[in-house]
Amino acid sequence: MSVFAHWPNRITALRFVGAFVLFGLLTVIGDGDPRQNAGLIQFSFWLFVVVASTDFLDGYLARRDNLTSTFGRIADPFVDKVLILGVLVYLAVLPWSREWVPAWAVVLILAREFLVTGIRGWVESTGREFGADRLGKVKMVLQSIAVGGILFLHAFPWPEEVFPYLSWMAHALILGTIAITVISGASYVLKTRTLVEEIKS
Amino acid sequence: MNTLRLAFVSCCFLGCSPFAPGTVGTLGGVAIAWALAGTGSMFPVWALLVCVVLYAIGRPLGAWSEEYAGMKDPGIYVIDEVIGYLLTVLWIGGPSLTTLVVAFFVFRFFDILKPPLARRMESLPGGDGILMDDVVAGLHGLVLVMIPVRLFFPDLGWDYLDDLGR
Repeated sequence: MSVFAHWPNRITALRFVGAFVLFGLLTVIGDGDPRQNAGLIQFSFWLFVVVASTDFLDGYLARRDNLTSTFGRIADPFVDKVLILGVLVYLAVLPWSREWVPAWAVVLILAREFLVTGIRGWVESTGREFGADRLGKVKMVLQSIAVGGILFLHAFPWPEEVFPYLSWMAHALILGTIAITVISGASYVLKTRTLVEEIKS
Repeated sequence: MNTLRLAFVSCCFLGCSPFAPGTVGTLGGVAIAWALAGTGSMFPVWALLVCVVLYAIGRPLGAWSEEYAGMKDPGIYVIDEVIGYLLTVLWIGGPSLTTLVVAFFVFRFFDILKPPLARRMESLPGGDGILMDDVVAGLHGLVLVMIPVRLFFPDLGWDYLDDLGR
């Protein structure tokens, strides 16, 4: 039976397609002022909200209806990372958004993902489970809110007195995201060190 | 006679689609809502009336379609999705194109998610078991998403898609 016979994997595939549509929209907006393209940036924002908020849905449905699959196990986290990191890369490059997303922040977040992926591969090769812990989930949610927040900031014509306040919040969200990303990465490292010592002894 | 029954339960054979019959069948609901959009402020009344008629005809045909397809809650039976969609889009005033599209995704979301209450409805006997879970899913869409969005974001640009054509 095809891997797309059931909804969990279909949702994963649709989210992947949605992420690329979003990249396409951001490419079209490009260097231009997003306010000149209000329809496109608003659609991008809502598309991001839908794709990011359905993160939990595929995994939840697969577990509830006993439809978990190898495809889903690999594709679901892959799509999540392509979405968040992909949009972050775009936001770090586009002139209207890079004020909020410094390149070094994206490098830091990417580095954390590579490190955790490496650790996960090793831990699972020892036959142990390596699911996301609570801190990892908080990180994912905060990243999504921060990225959504920056799109939100540019998607709507805010009054001049409101904009600085929202802009400040977007800065704070990105800083919070960087902090929790590093902390959650460090917690995985510490856990793995404990595991390594356990195996040695 | 069987062809006539099949045409009804599959919403003009939309439910016979080889892929994602539920999603394709929901498009029948979109078509009905779009056709009723011209009724303006009377839209909720008309949509509700259509729901009641479809339910009344669809309920006794539930057993027939299960026998015809040889399985429980068969894919060809999509009148339940049509009713559920119409409930989600049930709107104060005629729906715009954007509303129709958003409601489509909102309804499919709740239909696929099947909230606990909707799951419980599946154990009802006969036609009710097939229809009620989608009715409940549709009401979830209406109450949890469509009404709050309409109340809290009245200026969200609900006619954005309509403007594209002009």
